[in-house]
Amino acid sequence: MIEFQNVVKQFPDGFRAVNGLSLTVHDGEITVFIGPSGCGKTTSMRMVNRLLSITEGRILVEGRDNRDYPAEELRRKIGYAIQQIGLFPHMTVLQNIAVVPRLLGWEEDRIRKRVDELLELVGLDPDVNRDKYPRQLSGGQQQRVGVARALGADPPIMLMDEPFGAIDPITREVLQDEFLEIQKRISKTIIFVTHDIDEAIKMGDRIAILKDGSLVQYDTPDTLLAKPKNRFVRDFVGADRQLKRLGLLRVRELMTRDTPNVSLRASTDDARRAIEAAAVKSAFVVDEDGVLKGWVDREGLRENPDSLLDAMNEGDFREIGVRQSATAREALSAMVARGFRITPVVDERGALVGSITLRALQELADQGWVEGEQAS
Amino acid sequence: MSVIPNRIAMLGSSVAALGFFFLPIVALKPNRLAAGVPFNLLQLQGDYRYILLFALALVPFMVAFRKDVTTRGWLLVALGNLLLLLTLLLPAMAATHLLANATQYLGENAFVRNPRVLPTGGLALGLAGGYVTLFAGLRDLERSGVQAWIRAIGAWAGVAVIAVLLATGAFNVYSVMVEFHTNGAALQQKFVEHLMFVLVSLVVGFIVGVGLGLWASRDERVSNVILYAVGIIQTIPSLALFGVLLVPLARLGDAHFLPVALFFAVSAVLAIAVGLGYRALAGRLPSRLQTASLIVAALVAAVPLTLFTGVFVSFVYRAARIGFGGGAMSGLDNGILALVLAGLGLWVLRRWVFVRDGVVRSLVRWAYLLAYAATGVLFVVLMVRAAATDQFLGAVPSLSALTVRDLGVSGIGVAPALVALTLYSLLPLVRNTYAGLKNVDNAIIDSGRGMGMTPAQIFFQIELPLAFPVIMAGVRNAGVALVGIGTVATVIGAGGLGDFVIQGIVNTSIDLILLGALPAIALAMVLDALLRFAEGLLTSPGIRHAQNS
Amino acid sequence: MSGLRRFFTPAALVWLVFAVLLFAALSVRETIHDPQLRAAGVTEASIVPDLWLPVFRFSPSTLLEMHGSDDLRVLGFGLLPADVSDSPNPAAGSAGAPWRVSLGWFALLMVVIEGLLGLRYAGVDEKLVRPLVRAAGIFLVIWSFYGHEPFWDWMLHGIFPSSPDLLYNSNTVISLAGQHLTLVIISSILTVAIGLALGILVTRAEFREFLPLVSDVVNSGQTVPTLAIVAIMAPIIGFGFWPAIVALILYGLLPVVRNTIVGLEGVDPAMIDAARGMGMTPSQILWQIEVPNASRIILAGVRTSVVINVGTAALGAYVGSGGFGNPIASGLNQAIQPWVLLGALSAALLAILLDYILGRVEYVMTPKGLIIER
Ligand SMILES: Nc1ncnc2c1ncn2[C@@H]1O[C@H](COP(=O)(O)OP(=O)(O)OP(=O)(O)O)[C@@H](O)[C@H]1O
Ligand SMILES: [Mg+2]
Repeated sequence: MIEFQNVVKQFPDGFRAVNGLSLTVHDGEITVFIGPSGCGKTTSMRMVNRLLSITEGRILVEGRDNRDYPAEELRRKIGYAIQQIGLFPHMTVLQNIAVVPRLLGWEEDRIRKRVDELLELVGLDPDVNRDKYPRQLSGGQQQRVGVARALGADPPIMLMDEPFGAIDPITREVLQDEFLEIQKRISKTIIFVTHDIDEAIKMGDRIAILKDGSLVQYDTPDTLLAKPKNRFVRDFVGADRQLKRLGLLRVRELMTRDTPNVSLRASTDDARRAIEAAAVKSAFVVDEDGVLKGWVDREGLRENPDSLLDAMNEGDFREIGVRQSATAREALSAMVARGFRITPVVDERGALVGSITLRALQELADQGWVEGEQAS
Repeated sequence: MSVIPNRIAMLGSSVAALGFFFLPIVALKPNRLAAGVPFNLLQLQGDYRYILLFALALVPFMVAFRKDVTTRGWLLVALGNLLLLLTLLLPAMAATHLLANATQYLGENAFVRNPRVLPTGGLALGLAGGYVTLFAGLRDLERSGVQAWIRAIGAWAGVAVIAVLLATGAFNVYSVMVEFHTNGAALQQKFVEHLMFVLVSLVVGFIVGVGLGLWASRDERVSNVILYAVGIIQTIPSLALFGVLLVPLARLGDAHFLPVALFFAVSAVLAIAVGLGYRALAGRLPSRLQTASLIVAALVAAVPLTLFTGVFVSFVYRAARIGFGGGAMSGLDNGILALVLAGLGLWVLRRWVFVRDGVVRSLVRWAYLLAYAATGVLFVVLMVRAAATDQFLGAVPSLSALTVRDLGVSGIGVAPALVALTLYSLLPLVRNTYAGLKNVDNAIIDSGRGMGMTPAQIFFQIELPLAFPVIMAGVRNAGVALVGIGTVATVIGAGGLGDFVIQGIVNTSIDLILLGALPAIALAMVLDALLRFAEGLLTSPGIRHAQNS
Repeated sequence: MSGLRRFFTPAALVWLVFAVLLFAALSVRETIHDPQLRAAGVTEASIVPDLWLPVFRFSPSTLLEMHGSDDLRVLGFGLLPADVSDSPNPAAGSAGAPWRVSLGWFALLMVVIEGLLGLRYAGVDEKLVRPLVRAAGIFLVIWSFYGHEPFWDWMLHGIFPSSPDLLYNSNTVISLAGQHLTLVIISSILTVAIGLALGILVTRAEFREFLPLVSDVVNSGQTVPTLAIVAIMAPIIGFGFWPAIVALILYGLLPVVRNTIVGLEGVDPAMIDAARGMGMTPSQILWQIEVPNASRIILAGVRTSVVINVGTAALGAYVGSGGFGNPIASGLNQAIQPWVLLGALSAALLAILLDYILGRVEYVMTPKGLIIER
C-alpha cells in the first residue's frame, strides 16, 4: 500500500508541481495517474521512490514513511519502468534484467532462472533473446525487456511512467493486454502514469485525475465515466464517455440468459409459439448441439409457414453473435452494424448462451447520464 | 529560491591569494641570462598601493556569498577585471623603483645590462585568479539573463584597458617587453612569416582537403582509404614529419625542373589511367581486389601528389610573400583592401537595410558579386606580378638550367614546413567535409531530387549550405593547429615565431620563449575568432538557429 | 581441407610471408658502413634482427633503465662531445644475451598462434584475444627492429650511400626508443589518471558549476603551441626528464578531459534515471553505467592524447629529455641527414604503432552492445 498524505513538491525555482496530494494506492491494484501534460504525474510518482525529495507531507510505503528507508534500499524494492525505457546498451538483456537482483546479491543460478522466467512472462523466448543487446531488439521488444527489468527482483510495488508511450498503437494494445494478463498472476501494487484516457480506463483499477498538481477525482474507471465530478473531468474523459463506459462492461454481465430459441428440427409452429410466448419479434435457431445457426422472425414464418429451414435467416455464429467476453461496446457496435435491436451471445463453441438488447444498453447509459448530471 | 555561493569565484580568489601571499611576484634580473632576485608582494616597498592586491585577492571570496545574483555578477566581473589589470600594473609600478635601485638589490659585482623584471609565479597565479573570477561573474550574469553583448563588454573591458596601457608603455619594465623592444623588428618579420605559412598551407590544405573529403563522401570504398591515410599522417609527430620530408624534398630541389615536370605529367596521366581503369572494371572486380587496387592507385597518385603539393605550395608562398611584402602598401593592395571593405559594407547593407526592397536588393547583390570578382582578379594579378619579378626566380639563365630549388623547394627551409603543415591540415578538413556531407539528411536530398533539381543544384543549394558549418569547424581546427605546429618549423630553418622559442631554450630565457609563444597564442585565438565570425556570416540563419537550440 | 583453410587466416598468411622473407634475408650478410659499429668490431651482419624482448633482457638500453639525456648538442652548443662510453656497444649487447632467436622463428610462432586462433574462433567475431595478440606481435617485431643496428645501417647506407655518418653516435636506437616510450608511458598514465578524475569530477552534481570553466580552459589550451609548453618548462623546472613529463601531461590532458566530459555528458539521462530508480548508488551508476557508455569517446581521447604525447616527447629533445627527438635535432643542427631520417622514421613508426595498439585496445574495451549499429 502506498499512501500520499498532503504531499507537496516545490522545485528549487519555486514552481509548485504537486500541491497537497492525498490518496491511497491499494495493494494488488493498478492505480493510474492521469492528467494534462505538466500536471505533476511524473513528479508525484518520482517522489514515491525518492528520485525527488518531498517538500511537505509524506508518503507511506507499506505503512512506513518512505524517508525512513535508505534511498537505495527503497528503490531496489520498487520496480521502475519509464517511457524512454532506459535500457543499458552496454549490457545484454540478461544483464539488464539482472541489475537489481545483482544489487541485492542474489546467486547467479537464481538470477538466471529468474531472468528466463521473466522473459517467458513478457513473451520473449529466453534462448533467443537472453544474450542479445538492446540495440538488437525492436522497440516493442525493448519495452518488454524494460517491464521485465522492472519486475527483476520481484518487487511488491511498481512505478510505471508511460511505459507504453513510445510505441505504435497496435503493439501498445498487445502490450497492454499482455501486461494485464501478467498482472492477474502477479498482483503487484502499481502506479501507472499515462496521458491516454483509453489506456487509463483499460489498465486502471482506479484512476486519479490530476490537474495543476492537485487531485481532481479518484475513482474506479466506471464511476469516473459514469459520474465525472466536474466539467474538467467530463471534458477530460471525453464526450464519448458513455461509449467508453460500455467498453468497461462485459457482455457476460449484461446479457439475459433465457433467450427464445428453437431447434433446427422444430416445426414452424413450435417457432411461432416460442416467439409469442416470449413476446418478442424473433427467435434464434440452434442445432442439436446448441450451436447458433440463424434466426427466424414473425414475418419469415408468415411467408414460409411450412418449413423452418426456409423461414429462417441463416447466419454463422461468428458473424451474428458476440462472445461472452466481449465488451458491451462491441455488442453495441454489432447491433448498429446490422441494424438489430438484439444480438445473440455465444460461447467459444458457438453455442447460444443468451442475448443482449439495445434497450438494456440504453438503460445503462441513461442511468449513468442522469446521475452524472446530478452530481455535477 | 535559494542562491548557493559562487564557488568559482572562491576558487579564483583562492588562486590569486595563493599567488600573492606565498609566491614571489617578480624577479629582478641584471641581464637576459643571469638568474633573478625574487621579490614577494610584501617586499615591494615604497608604495602603500601594493597592499591593495592582497585585499583584491580576498574580496571575491566574500562577494561569492552575496545572495543577489545580478549584483554579485557585476561585482565579480569588476573584481576580475581589476585583478587582471592591477596584477599587471602595480608590480610594474613597483618594478620601476626596483630597476632604479638595481645595483642596491643585485649587489655591486652584478653585470647589469638591460636590467629587467621577470614576472614570476605569483603574478601568473594572480592573472589566473583574475580570469577565474571574471569567469565566475560572467556565469552569474548569464544566469540572471543579462544580454550577451553586455556580458561581452564586461568580459573584454579589462583586456582592452590592458591593451591600451601596453601601447602606452606602462608595462615596459617587464622582461618580455624589454625583449620585445630589442627584437621588435625581428618579431614583426617572424610574425608575418608565421602568418604567411599558416595561411598559405591552410588555403592549399583547404583546396586539397575539401576535394578529398568530397570524393570520399561520394565513394564509400575510397572513403576508407582516404580517411585512413589522412589519419596516419596526423599521428606522425611534427618533428618527425619535417625530418621525413627533408630527404625527398632536398633531392627534389636538386633535380632539374624539366624532368620533374615531365615526371608529374607522366604520373598524372598514369593516375588518370588507373582511375579510369578502375572505373571501367569496378563492376566486375571482387570487392577485396577493388580495395587493393584502390590502395595501389592511391599510392601511385600520392607520391607525385605530395611532391606536386610541395612545389605548388612553395610557389604560392613565395608569390604571396613577394606580392604582399613588397614594401609599403601599393595601390593594388589598397585597392584590394577597399574592395574587401566594400564587400563587407554591401553585405551589411543587404542584410539590414534593403531586405524588403526587391530592386535595390538585387542591385546590391550584383554589386557585391562584382566586388568579390574584382578582388579575386586583383589577387591573381598580384600573384602573377610577384611571380614575374626577377625577385622570384633570381637570375636564372635558361629553362634547361632551372632547378626545382629555384621555385622554392628544398629540404631545409620553408618548403618542408609548408608541405608538412598542408598535410597536417588535411585530417580536420577531410574528416569534417566528409562528415558534413554525409550527415545531410537523405530525405532532404530526396525531396530536392523530387523537385527536379540537378545534381549540381542539389550540391550547391542543399548539401553545401547544410554541411558548411561542419566544414568551417574543420577549417578552424586546422588553422589553430597549424599556428601551433608552425612554431616547430623553426628547427628546419623555416623561421616563424618558433625561432624565439628555440632561442629562449638555448638562452634559458622565459622572456624569449614568451616573445614567441604569446604572439602565437594570440594569432591562434584571433584566427579562430575570425573564422568563427566568417562562419556566422556565411551560414544560413535557419541552420544557425537549429544548431543553437 | 577446410580445417587447413580455417588455419590459414589472412593474418596467419601475412605472418607466414613475413617469416619467409625474414628467413630468406637471413642468409644475406651485409657489410656494415657505420664507423661506430665498425669500431666496435662489427663489420658484417645480417639485417634480420633477433627477437628483442624488452622485458627479459636487462641491458642498459631497455625500458627498465632510462638514460637521462645529456646530449645538449641539439641546442647547437657543441659543448659536450658524444659520450662514447655511454653508448652501449650493440654487438656486445647481443653477444651477452642469454639466448638468441631470429625474428623469423618468432614470425613462424605467430603463424601458429594466429592459425590456432583462427581454428578456435572460426567464423566468430572474437574481439578480445585476437586483436591483442596481433598488437603484441607487431609491437615485438618493431621493437626487435629498433634493437638491430645493422638493419638501420643497411637502410641508411642505401639511402645515403656517400654519407660518412649513418647511425646516431651517442645512443642506440633501442635506447632512444626506450627513452621515448618511457616518456610517453609515464606521462600518459598520469595524464589519464588526472584527466579522467578531472572530467568525472566536473560532471558530478556537486562540482558541476566548474564544468564551463574547465571546458573553457581546455578549449583555449589548444591554442598554446606544444613547443612553447615544452620550452617554458625548462627555465622553470630545469633541463632533463621532468620538464618534458610536465609538458606532456599538460598538453595531453586536453583531449582526455574534453572527451571525458563530452562522453559523460552524452550519456542518455533516461538511462541514468532508470539506474537511479533501480536503486543503484551514485558510484555504481558512475562505474557501471556512465563510464562504460562513455568509454568509446573517453578511449578515443586517450588515444589522441597518447599520440600527441609521442609528438611532444620528440620535442622534448630540445629540453634534454632524450628520445627520438635527439637524433633529429642533432642531425638538423649538424646537417647530418641520416640521423634526421633515423629519428624521424623511428618516431613516426612509434607513433603509428602506438596509435594502432591503442586502436585495438579501444576496440577491445568498448562494450560490445555499443558498437551495434541501429
Ligand atoms: N526540475 C524541475 N524544476 C522546475 N520545474 C519542474 C522540474 N521538473 C518538472 N517541473 C515542472 O513541474 C510540472 C510537472 O512536471 P511533471 O513532469 O510531473 O509533468 P507530467 O504530469 O508528468 O507531464 P507529462 O505528461 O508531460 O509527462 C511541470 O510544469 C514541469 O515544468
Ligand atoms: Mg511525465
